[in-house]
Amino acid sequence: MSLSQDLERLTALDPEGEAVALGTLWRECPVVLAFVRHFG
Amino acid sequence: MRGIIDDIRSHGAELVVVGSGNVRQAAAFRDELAIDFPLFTDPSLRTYRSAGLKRSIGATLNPTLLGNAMRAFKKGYRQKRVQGDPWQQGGVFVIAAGGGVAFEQRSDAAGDHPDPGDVLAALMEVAP
Repeated sequence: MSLSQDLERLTALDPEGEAVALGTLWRECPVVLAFVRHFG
Repeated sequence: MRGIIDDIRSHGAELVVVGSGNVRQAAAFRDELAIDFPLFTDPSLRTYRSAGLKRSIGATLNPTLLGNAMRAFKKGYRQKRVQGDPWQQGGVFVIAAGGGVAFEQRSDAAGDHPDPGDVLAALMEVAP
């Protein structure tokens, strides 16, 4: 399975606490997906 | 990557950021910095592991940390209290619409960031 296929199945939480499947984020357009070390 | 967000959007793409803090920290971060791009958090770090991103004390407390910190300080960045996993490293990926990774960078140490030009070059390969 490719990296994007691995990631698209996973979820993250938006700032309101709602879970979002990562794959929906690049369904229609390309993304620059940046994982940061931490907030602050 | 925030510095090139206009370039990212001009190519029909979006910057998406994932952090490791809790939801409250993500909301505060978004509000404090007036973030207008999609921001998420994964306190479980499952997405980080799936992306193959490093997590270790050694990657954070690394000899290169001082130089990276000085470089960031000179650019005006001021780190505040760590909100998330302090040992988790980050990374940057360019993902084409529908899937397919055009660029991947996994930080070896704190402050190890990709060249924005390299990110944009990869984005131009997959931009509509």
